[in-house]
Amino acid sequence: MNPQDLILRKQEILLKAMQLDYESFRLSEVAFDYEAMMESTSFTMDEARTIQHQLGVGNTPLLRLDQLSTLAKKLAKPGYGATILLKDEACNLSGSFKARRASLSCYMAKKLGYQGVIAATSGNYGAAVAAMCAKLNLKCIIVQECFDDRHIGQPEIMEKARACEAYGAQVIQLTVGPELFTVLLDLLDKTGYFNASLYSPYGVAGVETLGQEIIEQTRNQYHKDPSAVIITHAGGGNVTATARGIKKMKADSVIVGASVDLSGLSMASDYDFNRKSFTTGHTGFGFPFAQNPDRSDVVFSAARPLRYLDRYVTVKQGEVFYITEVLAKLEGLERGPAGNTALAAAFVLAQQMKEDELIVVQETEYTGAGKHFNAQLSFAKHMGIRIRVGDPKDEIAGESIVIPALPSLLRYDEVDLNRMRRSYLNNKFKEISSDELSDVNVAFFMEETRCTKEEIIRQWEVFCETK
Amino acid sequence: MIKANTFVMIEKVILHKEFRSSQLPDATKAVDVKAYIKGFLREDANMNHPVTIITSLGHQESGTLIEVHPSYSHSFGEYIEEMAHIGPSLFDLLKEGEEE
Repeated sequence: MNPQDLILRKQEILLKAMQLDYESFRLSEVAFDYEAMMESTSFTMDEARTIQHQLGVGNTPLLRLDQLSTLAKKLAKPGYGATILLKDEACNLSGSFKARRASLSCYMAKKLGYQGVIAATSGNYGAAVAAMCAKLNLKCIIVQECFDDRHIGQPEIMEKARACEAYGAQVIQLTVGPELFTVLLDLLDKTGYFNASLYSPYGVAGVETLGQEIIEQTRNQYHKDPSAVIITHAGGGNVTATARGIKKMKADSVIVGASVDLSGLSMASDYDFNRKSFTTGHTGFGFPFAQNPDRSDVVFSAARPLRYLDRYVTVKQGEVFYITEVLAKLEGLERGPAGNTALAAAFVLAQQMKEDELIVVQETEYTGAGKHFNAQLSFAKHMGIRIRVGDPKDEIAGESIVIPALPSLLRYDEVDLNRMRRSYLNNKFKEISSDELSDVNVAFFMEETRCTKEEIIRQWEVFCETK
Repeated sequence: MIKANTFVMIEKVILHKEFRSSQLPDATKAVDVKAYIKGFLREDANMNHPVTIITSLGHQESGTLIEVHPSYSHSFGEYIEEMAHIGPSLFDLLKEGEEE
């Protein structure tokens, strides 16, 4: 593998591997026409739903979590405690909402005549792509970041590798590091397969149906829209597309992102890699991908969370394990744990909402060997993490996991979205070679950040002063 | 001796540490990038020797033979006593105020 050559040829390799000419959407050195790129998927929402229906994806139940809602009500002040609804996405083929993302990508790969599909992912997306490829008779390679240098791997990633192989995929497991991307380019170049990127318009548009279903279901079953929809946030595709689907239904639910707080851990560190108990849905992806979405394996990412997030909250690892056990014990649903990140935050948010309101948690994922919290916590203990019962605010990622002693100890931290917007702008400003901020760029940044023209110009002036 | 056509796992160095980015954390740039790939041995071979395999998709890969009949050993973990309090406490909380 020659990394320099592959990076130089990135555009050419990606064009061949997706037949999507990203340059045709470019408006300036930093701006592009996002809506035109999304429309280029050429699927209407109805077409997407038809394709997904054929592939065993979508139309998942929206469950009312009665006992969990009652518990939230008991902890809230009088008149408060919203009803918590849960979209049981584990019912999709391959066991997670990622099947929605894989479905349109793999359908396109087949339609465009590719022999196979490649995806770089350590998560549920691998199993989703592998399952879709099985159903569409496509070859499939999944590249995972999987082991530390001692060949020790997260049990959750081991399980995902097993699922991929169960569906007939070839799995390539790598040690820790961003070189995963160069390996992906090398494989795309050598095989001529389709790049089923999580960040392509197909990979994102497939989740718009999830937002649409949520609104249809709440309107049909409760004759109202949810006040808030809470979404586990990592790379940004889940937030982006669910929100797009909700907005296409003309609902104005508050869009809340939620991530597991892994602050202090480096995602590129061979040492830290196995000292986290969540392989996705955490701040190690959630923060950088919001502040710089175009860091992925495509030219322009279709996942642009700052366009859609109204609020962004974080919860601790111990809180997500706790709510996962609560979900099993009170609702008879064994799911997650990583997919329950939003549920942990929703339990607290529901206590602050009026009792006639609805809050929707928009995903679940299958559980099993490796993924189950006992597997995760056992692994954490072996890696030297201290597990104890107490107040989760004392948890330090990479050192301890604190399981809440009582449900009243669950809380969330609010992320300052304005700070994220400024950080996003500074990242983009660095790519601008001119001394002037063009009207095209200002308009693009207004869409990207929902800031006013004046706010963007002020930030540009601050950036130029400190440059 | 491992017979040809046996299903095995190989370890392959993808990138030597001296070619890794200097921006990476110390623990990462101190080690090679390695890949682990499964497939069928092309020829009879010995453990920890260089071999060539054919993957399930028919692709050829070379590396060091490290495992014969690779299998999965991940599990549901051990008993975690720190999770045991959750269920019982919930039932008590839900019952509160309902008995009067």
